[in-house]
Order: sequence, then structure tokens, then C-alpha cells
Amino acid sequence: MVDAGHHPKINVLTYSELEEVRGFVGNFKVKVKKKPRFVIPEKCNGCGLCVDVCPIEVPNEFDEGTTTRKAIYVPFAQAVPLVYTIDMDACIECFKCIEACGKLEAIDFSQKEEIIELDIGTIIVATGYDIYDPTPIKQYGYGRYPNVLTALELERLLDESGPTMGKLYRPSDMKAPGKVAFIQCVGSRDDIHEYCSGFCCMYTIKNSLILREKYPDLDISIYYMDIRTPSKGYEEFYRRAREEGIKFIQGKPSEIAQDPNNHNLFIYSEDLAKGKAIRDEVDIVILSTAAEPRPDSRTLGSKLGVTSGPSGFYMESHPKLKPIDTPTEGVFIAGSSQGPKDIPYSVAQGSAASSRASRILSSPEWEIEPLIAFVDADKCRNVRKKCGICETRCPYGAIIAPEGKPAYVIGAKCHGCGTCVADCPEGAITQLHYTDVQIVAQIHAILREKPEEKILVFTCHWCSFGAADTAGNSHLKYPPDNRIIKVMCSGRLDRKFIYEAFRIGAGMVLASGCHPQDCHYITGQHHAERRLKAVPKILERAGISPERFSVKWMSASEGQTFSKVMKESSETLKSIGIERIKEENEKAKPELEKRIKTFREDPDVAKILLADEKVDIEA
Amino acid sequence: MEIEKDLEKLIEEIGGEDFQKKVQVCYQCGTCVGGCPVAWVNENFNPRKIMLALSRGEIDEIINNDLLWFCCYCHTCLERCPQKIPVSEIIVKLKNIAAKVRGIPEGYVNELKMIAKTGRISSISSATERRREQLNLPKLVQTSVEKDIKRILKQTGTNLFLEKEIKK
Ligand code: SF4
Ligand code: SF4
Ligand code: SF4
Ligand code: SF4
Repeated sequence: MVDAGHHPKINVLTYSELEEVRGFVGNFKVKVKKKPRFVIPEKCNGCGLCVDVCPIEVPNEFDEGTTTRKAIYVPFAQAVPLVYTIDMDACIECFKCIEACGKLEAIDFSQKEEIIELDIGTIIVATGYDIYDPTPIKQYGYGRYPNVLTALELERLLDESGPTMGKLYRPSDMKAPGKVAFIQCVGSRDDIHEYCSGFCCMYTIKNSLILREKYPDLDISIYYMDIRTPSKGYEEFYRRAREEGIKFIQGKPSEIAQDPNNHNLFIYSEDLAKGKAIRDEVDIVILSTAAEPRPDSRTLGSKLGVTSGPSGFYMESHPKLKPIDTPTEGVFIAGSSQGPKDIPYSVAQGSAASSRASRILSSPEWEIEPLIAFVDADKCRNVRKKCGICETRCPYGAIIAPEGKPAYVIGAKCHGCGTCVADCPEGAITQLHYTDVQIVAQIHAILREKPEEKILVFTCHWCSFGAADTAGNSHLKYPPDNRIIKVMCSGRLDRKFIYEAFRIGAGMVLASGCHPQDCHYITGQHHAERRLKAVPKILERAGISPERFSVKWMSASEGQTFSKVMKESSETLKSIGIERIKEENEKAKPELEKRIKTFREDPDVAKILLADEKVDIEA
Repeated sequence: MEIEKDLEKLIEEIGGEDFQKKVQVCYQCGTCVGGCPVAWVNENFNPRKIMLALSRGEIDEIINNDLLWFCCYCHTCLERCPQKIPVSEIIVKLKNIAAKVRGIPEGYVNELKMIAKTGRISSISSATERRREQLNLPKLVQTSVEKDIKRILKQTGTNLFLEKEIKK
């Protein structure tokens, strides 16, 4: 950090927040809000006289509240830049600090928040994580029992320059402990956070060894469910802890009780190796709490066009092949903002992200995926009457409909979700590689023979197609009567595709995509869901049984769901029976024909429809 | 055969396909044991092992073991299970299967008879009364079994079971 602060080409903006990101890869315009410090960095010499006179004390965040700090403060000794800041939430404006600062005149209460605008080529998001506050886990007594600590609090107590000069005391009476216990997975791998926080096993072993070195006679136990040591040298470290006499007790404690007289703690657990319930009296319990996403990660993500997964951590573009990339070209993620990880892994990912970013910065031109949309200016009705529907659909601000002029797409910003394409009332927008012609041709090819025995499934590229893939990889069985057509995003699913499928005799149609919070195109799924809601009613009115069309959202890991839905659909199809399907389709034809009128008007799409009809007539 | 059908029914009751989500996800952490007041006094009673046997389909083993009956239905395990498995509810269902397949252990039948007769699981002894006096607790009163107790026994079908037992 200090090195970065001194580097001539690195500009560190601390105490600042991202306000807005516009533009596209290589050409981002970024607005940053710099919060006022009320201290002028150039004038402050760091003497700290102001701190001595400030009458206000608040809990020190850096020491996890084990000590206090003043309203004018530096967050911690190694902070960059080493400049004082006034915490206005705490300051009572007594102005004693101004007096103490005297002739230096470094304190300026008139400072205002400032918005600065920057031209940025690429962005790396490395906003880290938060530690879960275990207070809600009532049975562990954190916050009620003084001798129950979190691991981060222990870290502060073990720091030689920390609040206790590196000595471990029982907070209740400042006596030296004789026996301590660690509890693993507090808030991880359970109903609070499903995931494993990953690095807690190793830091607990590290802390237990530090304690062993400092206090050779201390009795140390670690309560754990599994000790996870997958990286290089980790298992050896675990073995060393056992050699050093650290007791590993397999079992997740059910509860901690406290003796109200002496604040000693009792851990109630099962000792799995012995297969029986045990009660252990200790001086201090240290909870290895879960890592969780920063509370504002979704807000920040939406400014950057970076999505979050179900756990709230940022989503990589692809879990295996694009672990650093995000849905927004030129924006990368690194470190624990993407998921809990330890230091070596974070460093590796940080290096990878900066090299991904420099690839872009060092090339004069940048290639993007050729899946973008474009507008046929002659068809766009925005010229005649105000429309702009497409503009409201695009999650990236890539399509613009200026008043009185045809809409146009900024190619470098378009991610190719196809949402605007499906929602344009004039059919004026085309998405390369996912054109109406291409999709209709697929529908026709699939339904050429025995259409009423088939289930046509529309999937998105990232999630529901991934689910189908997972089902295959996990060798899950389901009947072979479905046929998949993949689009990039469910946002591309035009209702006409569904009507066309039924018009030419499909047995069933299933539209699928991601869960709303997982959408790789931020809001594509949202628009698809809204659009598809009306379909069952329309089909029913036309004479098609509503159960022949369904919509299902699933994530790429849900192979089970995919195979289950396929099995269920197949059963529904059989229970309705081919004869009834044929009848219904015949009856619905005129209405469906009306609904796909614009397909007939597009000469290229019409060609496909006619070709098939000709074959039918000949047959 | 009977047991297999019951197991199927149990799986159905626990939630059909959710059985996998509700039982097979048990990762044998022991939280249920650590908080169980019965496991604490009887080291052979172990709800985790019951869940293990159940998820492996070894239902005979569970219902042929009288230990199953030791659960006092306090729900601590259900409250604390990190996988949200309704352990205590499952144990009750297992008890019901066991009652049907091989009957209720004698001690519990006697308790039941006692409840039908006096509304209590054990009679009021002079030792109890003395202890209550020492602790400044009010005297126990004899309750009537005519109304509520009888109704409960009838509505739960326990009276039929009792009649059979008494005939035996
Ligand atoms: S939705 Fe279609 S018609 Fe409307 S402005 Fe956009 S391109 Fe033009
Ligand atoms: S809505 Fe999707 S396809 Fe249309 S311009 Fe925006 S990113 Fe491109
Ligand atoms: S607490 Fe839940 S997950 Fe843990 S052993 Fe008991 S039933 Fe299984
Ligand atoms: S409900 Fe039964 S198994 Fe669960 S904690 Fe209570 S006594 Fe033990």
C-alpha cells in the first residue's frame, strides 16, 4: 500500500466512493465522490496535537472496538495517505483541534464533498468482504458473554502493537487464560451462509500456533466439522499443529453457556470421534466467523454492470474459463469481492486481473464479441412518433433513441442480450447470430417431423443451458423428447417464437433462463418474465391447454431441476395425448397466425414459413 | 415388507423428493447431540446416529432399538441444526412406525396407562411432596382424567392402543 501510494503512476483515492460509470471498455467516464476530510493533506505534518485535545472517543473500528479513537483520527498506523480525518458523525464541533493545530492551519471545517471525473480505460473491482457479526447466533452468546471473541478480535489482541501489546487476556477480568477453544464455521456452511468461507481453517491453525508459541502451557482446542487444507503446504501446517498438542475435536458445538460468577464458559458439543456429548469448561472461546459480501456490493455492482451471485459475491463471467472477467467488457474482479479466498489466491487473482486489464490498455484496438444488436433505421418508428422502448430495455445504456431520429446501438457497449430486439414493436432491431431468421429456422427444423411429440425448450446461454449441461455431466436421466434452442439471454425470447412453435404443431414449449438475481445481463430475465406472463392466457384463448407452455428459471448448477422439469413435462405431454394436441393446434391456428403476422412481413422469415408449407402441401 | 412400506410413507411425509433435502443433507456435524438433554445423561442416545441410519435407509436398526424412545421431544436439535433438518419431528414419525411395527417398550406403556388413570406419568409420592415442600413449591393436586385427558387419548387414537395393551 505504501509503495502504491508513492508510485508516480498510481493515484490512490481513499475516502472516496464510486458515483457513476458511463462509457465502455477503453473509454469509461467515471465519477468519484471524494468525501471531505476536513484536514488539508498538504498542510498537515502528522504531529497529532489535535488528537490529544479532541474530547470525543468512539470505538476504534480497526481494533474491532477493543479500543477507542478520537473524532479526529487516522484509521491505523500504516494508513495511506497518513493524513488525519474528522469523523463528522462523532465530532461535536468544539473546534479545540483548530486551536491545537495553530499556525499550521491544516484543519478546514468548510471542506465540501467533491465530485471528480476521470477518463478510465479499464476497471478492476477488488472491494473485499466483510466479517459476519455472530450476535444473531444467540446460543454462542457473542456480545453477551465478554469472553466470547471473534477471530478478528483475537488477531488484534495478538498484534504486538495492538491494544494489549500482543498479550491475551480474558476480557472479563484481564486475567491470563489457561484454556481456550476455537469454534469453526460460525455462520458458514449452514442456514446463514451456505458456502464455506474457505480460509478460516488455516487462520485458526495459524492463531493456535501463535498462541502455542507465546503460551506453551495454554490448553488449546479447535472444534471443527471438517478441516479443509487443499492448498500447498496447508496439510503439513495442520500436522504441525497436532504435533504441537493442539486438540482437534470434531463436532459443531450446540451451545456455549457462561458461569455468571466468574464468566467461565462451557461448550456443549458432541465429540464425534468418541460419539458422545461433552461439556468443556474454558476461559476464552474464539468464533471463526463467516466471510460475507460487503453490504453495498449490489449497489456498487449495478453502477459497474457487475452482477452478484445468490451468495451476494460478484459473479465471474464463467466459473471455469473467465474467472476474472465480468459481464461488462473492461471491468474485472479480484479477491474476496468475488468469493471468500485466502491471501495467496487473492494475490494470484489480483495479478491475473491486472494483466487482463493491461492487455486492453496496451492494444490500440479491442475486439468484442460479434453478438451485438443493430437497428434498421427505416423500420424504427421513433422518427414518426416518440417510442424509445428499446432504450428503456437495455441494461447497459447501449441503445439510444434520440427524439425524432431512429434509434441506434453503440456497438462497444452492447452485450448482445437481445432484450431490445424482442421488445421492439416494429421488429426494427436485429441481433447478430441470433436473428429472427436463424431462430425461426431452428424452430422449423426441430418441428419438421412429429412436432406434437416434442417439447421445444428455449434456454439462455449462461444459466438454463448450463443446467442442461450439468444434468448431462452428472448423468441425470430424462426422456429424450425435448429439443433445445439456445439464445444468449431469456431477454431475447420473443413471444412470436412460442406462437410460431405451436402454430406448426409443437407438443409443448418451455421457456427458461436464469433466476432474477443471477442474470448475466442484469435485467434481461426481468423483461423476459414480464413479457412471458401474458402468454398462457393468450394461448388458452386460442385453444391451447395452458399446461403445454411453461416458464422455468434455474441456475447453471441446477442439473437436478432441469432433469426434473424435463421428466414432468414429458409426463404432462403424454397425459394430454397426441390426438388432443393435434386438435388444439388445429383450432388455435388462425389466432396464432395473426400473432406472427410480422414474421410474414419479413421476407427472409416468410421464406422459411413458406418453404415448410410447400413441403406440407406436397406431402 | 411392512417396514419398507412405512419407510416409503415416512419419506413421503417428510416431503417426497424433499427427503433428500431434509435428511440426506445431514453432514454429521453433531450439533444435535451437543444440545440434546437426553444425550447428555445417556451417552448411548445419539440423534446424529439416528439421522445417519435413516439417510442410509437402515430403518430396521432404528426402530428395533429402544433408544429411539428416549427422545423427550424438546426440539433443541431442530432449532440448532445448521442444515435446518427437522430432527425431532422425524424422530416422532419414526416412533410412530416403531409403535406400529413392534409396539411400544413396556416402560412407556406403563407410563401411558398411568396417564390414562391419573393424568400423570408417575404417581405422587411422599418423597416428591417432601422435596417440593423444601423448595417452597405448592402441593401437587390430583387432576381429573374424565374430561381433557380422555378426550386427548381418544382423539389421538391412544385409547384403542391402550385397550389392546390391557387385553394382552
Ligand atoms: S423500440 Fe424499435 S421502434 Fe422503438 S425506438 Fe427502439 S428501435 Fe425504434
Ligand atoms: S438491450 Fe441487449 S442487445 Fe439491445 S442494445 Fe442493449 S445490450 Fe445490446
Ligand atoms: S445437527 Fe443436523 S446436520 Fe448436524 S448431525 Fe444433527 S441432523 Fe445432521
Ligand atoms: S428433540 Fe429429542 S433428539 Fe432432539 S434434542 Fe430434544 S431430546 Fe434430543
